[in-house]
Amino acid sequence: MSELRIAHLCKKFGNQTVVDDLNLVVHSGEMVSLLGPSGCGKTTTLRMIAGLEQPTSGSITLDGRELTTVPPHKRNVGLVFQNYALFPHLNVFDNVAFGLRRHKVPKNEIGPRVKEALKTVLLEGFEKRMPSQLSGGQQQRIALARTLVLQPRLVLFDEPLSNLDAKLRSQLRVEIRKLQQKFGFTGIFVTHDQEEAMVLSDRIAVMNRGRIAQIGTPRQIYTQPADPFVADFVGESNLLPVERVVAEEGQWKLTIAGGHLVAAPRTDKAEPPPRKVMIRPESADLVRSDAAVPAGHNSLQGTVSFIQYTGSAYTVEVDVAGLPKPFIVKIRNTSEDIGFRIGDPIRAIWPVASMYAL
Amino acid sequence: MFKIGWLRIVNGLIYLYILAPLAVVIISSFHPGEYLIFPPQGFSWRWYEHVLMSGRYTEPFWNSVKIAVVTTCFSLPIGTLAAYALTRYDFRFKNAVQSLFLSPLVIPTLLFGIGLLIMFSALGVKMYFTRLVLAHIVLTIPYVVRTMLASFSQINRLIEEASIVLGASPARTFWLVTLPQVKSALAASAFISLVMSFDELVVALFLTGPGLNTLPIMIYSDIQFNLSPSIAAISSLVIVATLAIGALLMFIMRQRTRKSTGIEEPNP
Repeated sequence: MSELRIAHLCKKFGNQTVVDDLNLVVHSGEMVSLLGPSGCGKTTTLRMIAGLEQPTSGSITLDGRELTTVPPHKRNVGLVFQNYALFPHLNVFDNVAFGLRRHKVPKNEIGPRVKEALKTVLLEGFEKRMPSQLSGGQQQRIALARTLVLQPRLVLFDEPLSNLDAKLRSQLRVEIRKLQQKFGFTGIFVTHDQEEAMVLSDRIAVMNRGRIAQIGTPRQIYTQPADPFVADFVGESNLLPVERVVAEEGQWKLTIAGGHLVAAPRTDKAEPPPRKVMIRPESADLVRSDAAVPAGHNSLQGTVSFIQYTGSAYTVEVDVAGLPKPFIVKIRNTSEDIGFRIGDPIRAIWPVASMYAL
Repeated sequence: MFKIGWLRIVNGLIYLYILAPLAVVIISSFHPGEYLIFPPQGFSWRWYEHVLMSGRYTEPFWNSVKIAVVTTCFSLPIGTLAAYALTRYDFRFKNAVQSLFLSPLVIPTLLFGIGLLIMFSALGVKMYFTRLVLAHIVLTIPYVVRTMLASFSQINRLIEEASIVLGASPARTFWLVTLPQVKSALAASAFISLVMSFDELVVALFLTGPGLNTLPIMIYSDIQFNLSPSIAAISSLVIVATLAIGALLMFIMRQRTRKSTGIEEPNP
């Protein structure tokens, strides 16, 4: 019952276009992440929904009601900030009660509702503490309680976890997701961290230069990126520039940079010839350079140039003649030694089916 | 070690230079004789008794207090709002407006006094109290603006945005969220404004008239026509009272920040 529709939204600062004809529908109870590099317009979009920036043109409606003409303090939209933005002169109770008081909630209801909100963020009994006496994680929990206590239909998150350390970050993002499912609010989550976006959202909108490059489920974004930008930004990928294309039944025969020959699946006859092909590092494997290539696989010959051990995986960079960047392979099995060193000749192989044409 | 010792001596000399005049005034106020001299020959409370009992300074003192308080009641809100607008908003002629608000700091008060006298005479404004307060408001605003500018520029804008998103109008946000962040600067501004107005002499000399004497004018005329230790005595009282008010303000500010944890926030 709280559907957000953004249509033809534009924002210009001077002659610089920050948000460029953005269209987005967020369904009731859905969590959508705006994912993109800094300066892609994601935070500006969020601020326009909250009313803290005025759009240059376009419309934002919540349940069919136009928001852009409503002043920000009357929009009833929740906003959680990156730096918490708690009121430093008020204690935890007064911070959480702030919105209730502004909405003229009867005095005898305020106490119980604040208590309930603090309970949901696991900070019962913190009423009398001042924000300066709390850790970053606790402060962000209070900020969450302060927002959720008003039971907003739409909650906006502006990189709320970026200031926290890695462990707390992964813990809180699960909590936010659970709270969202419990309260059923519609959520928009701005982040530049793709893992965060994957965990938290029903759908991800990848933004680039003020526009949505692709919107879809985390799985769609990862496995079927719409363009090279999305492929490169979401997850690690090997993007191979295509130089010559031969169309065959069911597959493309491609000559990539450096003159290497590879094949890629061709699902649709109407599909235009690819300009780039992508292979995820974890889809590829490494074999000895004189080993035979199994049927249905592509292969590239090269030299090991760098090895990273990350505990759960080895990330190996392979220099391949003619390719602009090293070819990256991620090997998950770390129980035994990988059996090669930097400088060794090596062969990367991967199934043709795991190749993705862009 | 040598360097630190040397710095200490310079430091001490600077303090001496700043505080010695005050000490001279206070010490000579205890001189029992008829004329103001230093060092005093003997010790007596005689001139304090004279100052407090004769009633000579009572009315000028209260006049100065009234002028200072009324002046501050205007210069504090005007200067605070001006400083807020200058930190938060972009508008045409912003730099010009800022210079205008700070300009009385660089204009000699003598010129300012003459200008005002000519203007008020031309307009036929003869209400001495009103015209002196108007002049003092202009003179004290720069101090308020300067102090508040520094304080406003330090507070986090996102806190105000959080307040607005939670349902407080911009005006309520200013009252409930912004002002509490700058409490100490407000107190400092008020104090400076009160003191500046209270002991302002030059403009007062031009703008007062029959029936309105301020304390600085009274002391000034006594220096010219009646140089007795009573001047030193009244000056000493003013010094002590100013220090006391300053100390009291600091004490209150400290208490406030310490126990601002009451469950109920004030609902204006």
